[in-house]
Amino acid sequence: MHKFRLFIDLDKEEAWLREMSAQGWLFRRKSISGYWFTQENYGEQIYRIDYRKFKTLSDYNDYLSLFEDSGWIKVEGSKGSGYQYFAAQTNNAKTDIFSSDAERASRYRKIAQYWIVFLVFYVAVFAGQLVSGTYPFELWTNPMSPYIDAGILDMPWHLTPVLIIVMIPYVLSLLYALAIPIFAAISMFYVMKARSLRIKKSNA
Amino acid sequence: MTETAFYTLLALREPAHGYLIMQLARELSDGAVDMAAGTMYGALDNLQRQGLIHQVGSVDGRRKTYQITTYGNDVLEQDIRRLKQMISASEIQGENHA
Repeated sequence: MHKFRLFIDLDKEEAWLREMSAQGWLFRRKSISGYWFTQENYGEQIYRIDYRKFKTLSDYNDYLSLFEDSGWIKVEGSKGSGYQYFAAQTNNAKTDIFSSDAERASRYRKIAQYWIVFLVFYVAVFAGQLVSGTYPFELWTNPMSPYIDAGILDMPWHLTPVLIIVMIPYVLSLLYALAIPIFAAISMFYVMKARSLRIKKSNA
Repeated sequence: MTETAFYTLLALREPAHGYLIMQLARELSDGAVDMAAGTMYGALDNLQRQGLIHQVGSVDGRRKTYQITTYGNDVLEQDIRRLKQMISASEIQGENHA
């Protein structure tokens, strides 16, 4: 069974996978297209998601061994995927892979850093285009305008692939502007999440 | 130094791999330091980055074995001296309240 969902909040994602298992759907795989489940009646499973990247395969295997020894089986993840999905084994006394909120905060901080890098990149490109006057603002009002001006409608039909390739930089220019507020919002979400977890701890 | 770091360094006076360190830390601290997997890995990563521990090999090709470094031992000794001082001061000062 396949389901497409997009999660920004890792706690909600963990809760959703747990809820699915309670309904008899066991989480097996995750890809860009979503989550894959098989129907099993093992009862409710606890899932935890870590965010960590590794330089070498031996580092990764060491990490996985530690989790395995502690009663956590990897369901999805790889050396460079960042997101590591674990399911608690039946004899596992612990229900979490973190002992404190401060550590739960650190994985959000790492994810935030990742989004901020992309954000900075897009801001730089956008700023560069603005300064050099090469940003195609007319695309916002009429997306087809550069092509009509270039006489695209008069182009022989068999050159359509060329048209598509020429379109790419214009489409990317539009996307930079959209990417900036979206990436900024996502980064802010993760930064706020990390901060709220640390504040919770200092109030305890 | 946090309790977690203290007991991890203490446990690593002898070579040990991740899960064993978790168990040792729990025993040595009488249950006070009960690390979860992610916490343990983060602590090892951190201590390694600070040069307080290093990898000394591998028991089975998968699990890495760590041990405290000379520098790590110096830092640990420093903290032990600090704690001893705190205890002896508490035993002398204001004895009537003890």
